[in-house]
Amino acid sequence: MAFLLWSLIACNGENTGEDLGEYTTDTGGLTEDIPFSVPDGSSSAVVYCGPYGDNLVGTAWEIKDADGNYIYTNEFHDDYAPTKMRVGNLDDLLPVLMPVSPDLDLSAGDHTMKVWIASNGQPVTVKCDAIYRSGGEGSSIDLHFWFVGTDLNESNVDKDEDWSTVMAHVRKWWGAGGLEVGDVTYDDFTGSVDQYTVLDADTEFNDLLRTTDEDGEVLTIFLVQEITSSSGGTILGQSAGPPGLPTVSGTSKSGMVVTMADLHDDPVGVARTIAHEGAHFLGLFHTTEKDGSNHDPLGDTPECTDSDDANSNGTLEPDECPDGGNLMFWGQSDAADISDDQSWVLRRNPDVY
Amino acid sequence: MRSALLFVLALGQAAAAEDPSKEQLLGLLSGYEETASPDALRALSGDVPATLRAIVADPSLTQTQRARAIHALGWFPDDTNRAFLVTHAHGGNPMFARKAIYALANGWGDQAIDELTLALANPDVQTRMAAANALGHMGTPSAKLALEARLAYETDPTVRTTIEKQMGK
Repeated sequence: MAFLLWSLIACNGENTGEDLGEYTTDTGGLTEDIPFSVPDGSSSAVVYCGPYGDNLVGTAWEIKDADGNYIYTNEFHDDYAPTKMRVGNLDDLLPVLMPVSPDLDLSAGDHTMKVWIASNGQPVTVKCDAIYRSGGEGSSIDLHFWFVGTDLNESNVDKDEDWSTVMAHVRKWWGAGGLEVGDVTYDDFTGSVDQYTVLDADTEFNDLLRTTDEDGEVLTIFLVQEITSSSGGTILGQSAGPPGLPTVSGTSKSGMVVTMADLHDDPVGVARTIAHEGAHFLGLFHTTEKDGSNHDPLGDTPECTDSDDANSNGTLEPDECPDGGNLMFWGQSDAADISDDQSWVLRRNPDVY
Repeated sequence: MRSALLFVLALGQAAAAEDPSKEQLLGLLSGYEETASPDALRALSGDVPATLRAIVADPSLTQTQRARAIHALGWFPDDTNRAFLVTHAHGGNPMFARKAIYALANGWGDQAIDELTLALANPDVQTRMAAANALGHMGTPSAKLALEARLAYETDPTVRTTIEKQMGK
């Protein structure tokens, strides 16, 4: 993972890396400015800092472009209006993807970012790096599936009709959004299978992703029997981030996990979960959150609001919302649409070639 | 006029008491990364647990939809739901058993210690781990005592690790 400057040439572009050095937070939790230089012709950048541990949460406090303009800030400034940038509040490691909307494209030049980590005044030292994608947008993504204690495994996956249905739908939905599935690889997980077969999303997710060891343009997907919350709720899928950390393995943000309990009941639903979580990894947010409090930064995805809550239960269900059929709605429906802006973001991710 | 008004009022009461449909609850249970919150379920009028139990009993629905309905019954702690969950906690579907164990812990806490202690001895490794996690999540002295007692007999290394982790909370 350590590098000063590296490059990986792909079919439709090139990823280069920049070592940004180490930074320590002050008593308020903030780092100093972290400079990073976006090369000319870059279509996307990922700046990432960590690790700072699973018990701490960090976020980007502010990001400035080469002209000193705020791309994003958590502080009030007279000359700043909220932009179409979104960053996560993430444990352990913070990947920041730019751009996340065609309404705020990436510019070349010397940028800066400050990171804030909630550490109760204790100094935290993080290592920061950047990945720059050049050569325009890509169109294909390779997938590497790992079977973790599921009935489906490396030896029977090619003969399983339900799995064929899953992959046909992932290809269909992502393909409609301009993203083709390239090479697909399968392996049986050989680590602590019993521990991760029923995965605790709150305490085991990061450790499972840290087992990855394949750098480069590939999306790692762990297939487990079930994902649960600490209180026992069933989770259909979970991606690192969003966004995940592309092209870098061995971190808590290096992949995604999907529940396989419905493979034989509802393979189309499993496909929808894979497509949804994969799109999170590549930089898409929910078009509408469950309570309508937040929306993605894209201009062409409909938004659902409190006024659409027909049954007044505080939750926006798919059939109440104009974006209920979008792949990135918070809940499953019968559709999995991808808008032009969503496609634009997906195809700029460094994992897409 | 008065009888007509009473008729309208009666109709209104009947509508207010109408149970939520399966489709309505399935919409709430449809989240990719999270399932229905207790508040959202309790905000619905009618007999929500009856519809949840109907979802569990419907073999045309998916495993995760039915499992989420079992888990949601924990937010409605009454005798009917407890009996329903106890049946599933000791039933033949391991995923449903795990959900019922968590639901009993969430809904009844220490009052479900007997069922959770029994689940710690379930032949299925993942079910034993779920019981250990549910007890650890409760975190009460009774729950920790149940975990300590099971640790003395547990032979599976992964379950032992889970119990030790939950005892250390």
